[in-house]
Amino acid sequence: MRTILCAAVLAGLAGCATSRAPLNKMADARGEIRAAEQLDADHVSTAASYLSLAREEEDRGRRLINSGQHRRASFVLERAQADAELALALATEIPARAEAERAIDRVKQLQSQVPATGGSGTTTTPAPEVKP
Amino acid sequence: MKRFYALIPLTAALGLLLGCLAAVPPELIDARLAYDRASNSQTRALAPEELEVAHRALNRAESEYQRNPWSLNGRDMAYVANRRVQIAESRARLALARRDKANADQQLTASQAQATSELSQARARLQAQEDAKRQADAARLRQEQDQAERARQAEADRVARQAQAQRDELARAQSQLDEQRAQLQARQQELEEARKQQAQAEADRRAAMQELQRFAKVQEDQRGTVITLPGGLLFAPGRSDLSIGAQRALEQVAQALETVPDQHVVVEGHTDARGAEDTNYELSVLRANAVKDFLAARGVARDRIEAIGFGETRPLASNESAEGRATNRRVEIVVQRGVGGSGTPQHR
Repeated sequence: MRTILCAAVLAGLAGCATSRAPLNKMADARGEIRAAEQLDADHVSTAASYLSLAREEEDRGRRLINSGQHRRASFVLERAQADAELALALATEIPARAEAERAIDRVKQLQSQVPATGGSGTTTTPAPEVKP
Repeated sequence: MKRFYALIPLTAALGLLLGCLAAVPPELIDARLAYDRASNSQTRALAPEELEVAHRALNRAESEYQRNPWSLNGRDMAYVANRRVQIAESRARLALARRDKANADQQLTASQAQATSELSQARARLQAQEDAKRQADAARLRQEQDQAERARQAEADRVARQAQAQRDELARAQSQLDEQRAQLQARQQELEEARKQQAQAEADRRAAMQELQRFAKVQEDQRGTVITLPGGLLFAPGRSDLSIGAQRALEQVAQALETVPDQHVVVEGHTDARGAEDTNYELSVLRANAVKDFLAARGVARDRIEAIGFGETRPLASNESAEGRATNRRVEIVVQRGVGGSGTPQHR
């Protein structure tokens, strides 16, 4: 039994030692984080938390690579990339929604200001509502 | 070594058993729930590619879980799958927001175009109203100016006509005045001439009367100028034909009467009281007519002479004495004052 466990540990250590460092995933995670930062995700409340998570996971992945745990680092960096992509998506989505709401408000305001003209033939559809 | 290989299936079977008995990691549960929620929402239609990526990530996590329920990497895969679902949902909301924004922009553009159109129409209407009002004001002003001009022209014409009428009237008045002045001057001249003539006639009359006074009595009484010729001078006793001396005297009388050509002359015959009254009357008439005829023959107009016989009815003195009877036998020629030839004669 002892022999089997030792063999397994050695095999695992050998696998880790022989696998290559997930530098591509590190680069992907880093790229997504930078994209989110450029979109000013730090100042979008919901996106900021995911961006923070992504940074932490990127650091953890870097530490795992440094410690030679390349396979584990690969999955952690996938998490970092996914969090960064979510931060990026939210940083894109939330301002877009706010802008859409402002546009809708402008339409409602304009429609309330412009009285309906009889006989002009122009009809306006109600303003859409943004669904979460 | 054989014992080692014999342990491998046993270990695998034990692991499978433990895997079946192991609890599903919460990351995988969250990922499943998230995927189910997204699959049943608009995310499927709005972000199908992202949802497909999430689906593949979830399958990967499920496979890893089936392979190794305790796998730490499998939990990471489930975590990643959950994030992929969230990303897909975010993309769907983004697409929805962009679509709503596009609709809003379109409506905003349409509303702005409508507002601009209505504003343009309102401006056009306002401009048209202002133009119409300005044109109406201009027309009214022109009309008022025309009326004022016509009134001014009419007033000017009226004033001109009035001035012309006044000038004409003035000219007529001036002409009349000149004419009246001329007439007045002529009248004055005539009057002066008449006055001169009258003065001359008066002087002639006075001279003639003075001449008469040599053989006749000339006096003024209420009837006028009375020339009394003694009967003895004119007629022989009982006769009615004029003596030679009478003709000379009556020549002077005729000349004197020519100085008063417009005055009526009454020749009165008077006798004394001797003899019959009727005879005396007839004799006085005959003598008056004889004097009349003589004067007419000497140029005195017959129609201004009237012969009247009074007989013995108007004596001047007593018929008792010869002197008185001589005074009563007379012919009186009365030149009536202010009576022309057609004047009413005085009858007995």
